[in-house]
Amino acid sequence: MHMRSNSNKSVVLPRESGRPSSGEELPSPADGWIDSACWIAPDTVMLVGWFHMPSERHREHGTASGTLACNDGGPTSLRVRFMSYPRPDVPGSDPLAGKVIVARLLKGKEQTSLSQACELTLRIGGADVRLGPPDVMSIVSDLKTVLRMGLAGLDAEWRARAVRLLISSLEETRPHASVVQLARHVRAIHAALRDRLPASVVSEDQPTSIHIESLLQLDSTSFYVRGWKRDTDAVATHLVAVSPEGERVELLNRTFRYPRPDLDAFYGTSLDEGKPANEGFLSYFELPTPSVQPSGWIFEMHDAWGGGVEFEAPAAERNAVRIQDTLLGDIFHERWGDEPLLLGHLHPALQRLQARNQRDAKIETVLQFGRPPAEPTVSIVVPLYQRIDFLEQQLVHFADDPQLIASDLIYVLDSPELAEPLADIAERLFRLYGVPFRVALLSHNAGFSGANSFGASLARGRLLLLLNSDVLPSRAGWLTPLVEFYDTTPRIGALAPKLLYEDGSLQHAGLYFRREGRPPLWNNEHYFKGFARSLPSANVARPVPAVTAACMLVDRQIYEQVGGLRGMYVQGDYEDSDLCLRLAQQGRESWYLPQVELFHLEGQSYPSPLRQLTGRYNRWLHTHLWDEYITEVMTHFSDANTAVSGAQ
Amino acid sequence: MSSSKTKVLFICHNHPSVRPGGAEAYALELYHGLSDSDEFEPIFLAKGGPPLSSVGSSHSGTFFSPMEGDDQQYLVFTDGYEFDWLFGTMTDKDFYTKHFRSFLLAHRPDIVHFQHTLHLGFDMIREVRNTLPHAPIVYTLHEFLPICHRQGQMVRTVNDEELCTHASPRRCHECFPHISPQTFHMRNRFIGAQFGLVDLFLAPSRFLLQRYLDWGIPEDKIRFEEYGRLPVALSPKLPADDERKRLATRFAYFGQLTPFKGAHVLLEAVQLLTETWSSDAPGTDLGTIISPGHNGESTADSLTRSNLDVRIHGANLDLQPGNYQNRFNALVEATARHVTVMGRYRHTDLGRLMAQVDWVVVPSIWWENSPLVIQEAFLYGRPVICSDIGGMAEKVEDNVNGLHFRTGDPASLAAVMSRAVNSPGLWQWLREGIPQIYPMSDHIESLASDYRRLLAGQRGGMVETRLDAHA
Repeated sequence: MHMRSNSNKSVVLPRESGRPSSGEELPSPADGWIDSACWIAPDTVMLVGWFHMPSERHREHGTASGTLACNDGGPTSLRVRFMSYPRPDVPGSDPLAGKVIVARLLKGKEQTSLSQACELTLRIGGADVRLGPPDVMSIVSDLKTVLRMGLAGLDAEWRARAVRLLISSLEETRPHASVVQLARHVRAIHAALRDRLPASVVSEDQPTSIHIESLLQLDSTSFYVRGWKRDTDAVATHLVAVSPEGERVELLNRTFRYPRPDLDAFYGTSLDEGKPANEGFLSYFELPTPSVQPSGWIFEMHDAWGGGVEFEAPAAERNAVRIQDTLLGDIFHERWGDEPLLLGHLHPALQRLQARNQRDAKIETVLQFGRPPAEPTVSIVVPLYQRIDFLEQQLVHFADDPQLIASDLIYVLDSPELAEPLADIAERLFRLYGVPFRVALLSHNAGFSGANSFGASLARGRLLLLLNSDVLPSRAGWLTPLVEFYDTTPRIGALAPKLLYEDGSLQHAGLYFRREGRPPLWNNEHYFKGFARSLPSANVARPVPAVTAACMLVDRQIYEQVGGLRGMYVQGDYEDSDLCLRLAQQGRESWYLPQVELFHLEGQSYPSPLRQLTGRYNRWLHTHLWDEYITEVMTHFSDANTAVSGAQ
Repeated sequence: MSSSKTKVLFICHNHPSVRPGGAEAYALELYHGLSDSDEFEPIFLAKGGPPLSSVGSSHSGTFFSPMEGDDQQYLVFTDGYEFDWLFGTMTDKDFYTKHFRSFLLAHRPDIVHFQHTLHLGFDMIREVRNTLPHAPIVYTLHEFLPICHRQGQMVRTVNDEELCTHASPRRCHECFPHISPQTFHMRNRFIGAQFGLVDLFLAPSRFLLQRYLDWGIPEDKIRFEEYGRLPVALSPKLPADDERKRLATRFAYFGQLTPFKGAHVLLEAVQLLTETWSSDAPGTDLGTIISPGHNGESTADSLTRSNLDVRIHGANLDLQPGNYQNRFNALVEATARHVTVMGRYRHTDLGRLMAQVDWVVVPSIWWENSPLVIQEAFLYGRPVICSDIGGMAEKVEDNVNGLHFRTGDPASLAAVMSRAVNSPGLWQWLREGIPQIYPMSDHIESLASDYRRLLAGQRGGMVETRLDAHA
């Protein structure tokens, strides 16, 4: 045997496998040979061997179809990806005769559905490639053997390509169990094949360090990393995120960096030539293929001298609430002016998270109580979040109002953990109050917009009334005046009544926009908030810049046309003004009708640090999306709590 | 047993045979009074079982049980149902829609007259309206529970037990900081919504009537109607000469020993009196106010340490908060020379017990509605010394049939007690001023005319209430 040794390993080729040694004739009709194989998912097998390409002989990687023809049973179809690598021991002129093949069984077949004695044939470029041994299943072993026999001896470049081949197989849609198993094997392969850098050490005498504080997984292909680096000796040239499956993403020039005086204090360093020695970094990034393993992320930092260190990141955080809290907390680091952190990182991350939350949620069940009205004019959508006692409090009043009983009343439960108690209590309340209504139970928390959207999707009325669960009528007969005003006001988009706090003072009398703060951002304000309900200016029906979604009447078709509540904001604030601005763009005005009054039992919420940060993001987003348009809108309205003309 | 009599269902939170109490005793007397009528056939439904009794329902599958000896009296049990004390409702509405409904359908009363919905829930009203749409609903108000979460007393938990004049979400939140103003708004609206279905409210005092008008019950839905009392054999009169010679130095308190009923104020007054008598300085302010010129020596014409006689007839001290029990017991010990705690009494003993005293003291520190003990004192010919507020001040006319003292002020009570004894002829004068007590027969006649009027269709449809969220 004549072999060129690769790097520091030599590959021993056992004779017993029947593999031809150099110089011998190939036993026909095989066009190639498989040396080792192992299953890496219930429906996927990895094979390492060699064959000659029927055409395009130097093609480095490709896809193909294939079959496994077994003794008993028909042929099993395959989808195949392969990669070529050097096998100097294989006769022939093709330098890249070595092949790593990933074959997936089609039509739901799995390892267990194969009997022994199967022959493997690939179909590439219109030609059949038959591969020995005649019973390929006989050489199936385990992953360790395959790696040892086939891949561990390869140069780094070929090993990396093998990993890439395996990662690409994760792209295919496959059953979830298959994905998980495959990912696990891909990870193991990657871990075996990758070149390791020295581990990063944090100590005062270490000039070079990289440390990851947390890694957030927004969805299967987008992430947000938080860490710091120290590169005093040799400047970092690469900062690479390596997924457990082996996908690599270069981050260095896209991260957001900020000073870390705490590290400066620890290391005892000071600014040297204006360049900080220790820097925190934050980065949003995406992967081309999905990653499902939370553990095993490596972050590498390479320097100008060819060296580097690596750090194994903590397991990726997947909990949506914790992720959101962390992202909002990082607003603290923002440099105001051009807002690189928000624009480049926090905003895309938060939007991905919102999208994931919305994708996860769906309507699981709709419960119907009583006979629904045949042709309702109004569908009323009421989201229930964290509290279900409001259901009783609303029904108590709806029961004495024939206009409400004739409406299409839809409650949407946005707290799935309360589904059972709600279903139970709803039934009993119906028997006591007799108001027909529906309850939509959601699979996941969908947020304010999501819950309302699901409710709207079930609505049958011409008009849609969005109603908060903590809104109670002050008297019966409030709905018809709202509807009549809506139907007789041209170019109307959204209509809201006067809303009162529990003590009868004004909670809502129309919304306007005020720009303030550093940097200047658009805030939503309520006209005359906190003043007496009898204030003359608050008792003039008029168009206003926007109205609240706590009690908002809007034509259902128009609502759907402009996209309903969008769900971009965190915690549901600003969704109402966002909708009103979109309506305004279509030439539809928001109106305030004080002749109808309801109570909005909003509780006191002391501004917690987190609420402040939520507000900061929402205001930024609001301004980012609408700055110019709001400026124009506000030129038509008085923007302060000044007396309104027409008020007595 | 169908009859042409009008069926009246009385609903009460307790049966007096389970645990004694004023409102329930009156309700049962009313029921008995109506039983004698040719026109009406009453049914009495009272909540039994815990917490007032240790024994609940004994038969699975039913929550009702007739009282022994009378098929028209029932206990209703609430075993296994949780009562929300804040809103006044059963959390599981099946109690109304399954069980109470079955009772209503089986008995089909023509009129439902609520005496109390405590521990049963305001939703009982809703259920009656749902199941018997044509039956008028009458509701007698005995205290301020719909207005006030502090046991219906309208006494605040702040500003040193300040008397409360009106409720609002903010004020109620001040009294109960752990309950939000929004929740109080909802409570108010919830009760108001159920009350909107009542056809007629009865208020046993004009004071209470006005409070409920202020709260928002429409004027045309509420009227004043005093409690009627069954006639009693008048207490044996003291021999006439004894009346002239004897000083009226015997004071008695009758009632439960809750802090709101103020028995401790009476004890503190006694304490002040004894301190004055044992003080060596004759010119103390208290001595001047209480007994000008007297310093406790035994004289035949004034209140002294040797003739002051105070009796506390009452029960349920053991149910009160621990610190009140301690305070009460300490006071009893300090005033042991003059005060006797007589303990529990039966309603039938009242005549005999009142005959043994001269004055009945009603020192409540809450407004009171129409204290039955005042009516009983008058029935048995005893003038009343009472706090100068609310229903007490309404039923007892100062210097006509009793004496007022400043609510909660032991010094004021002590002074009044001294004056009561030391003023010659005062007791006789007040005794003669005692009014006639409203007989049960008149009361029933008055109620009957309400029942007839309501049945005749003047009930009307669902009337919208004007109950506002804020005062």
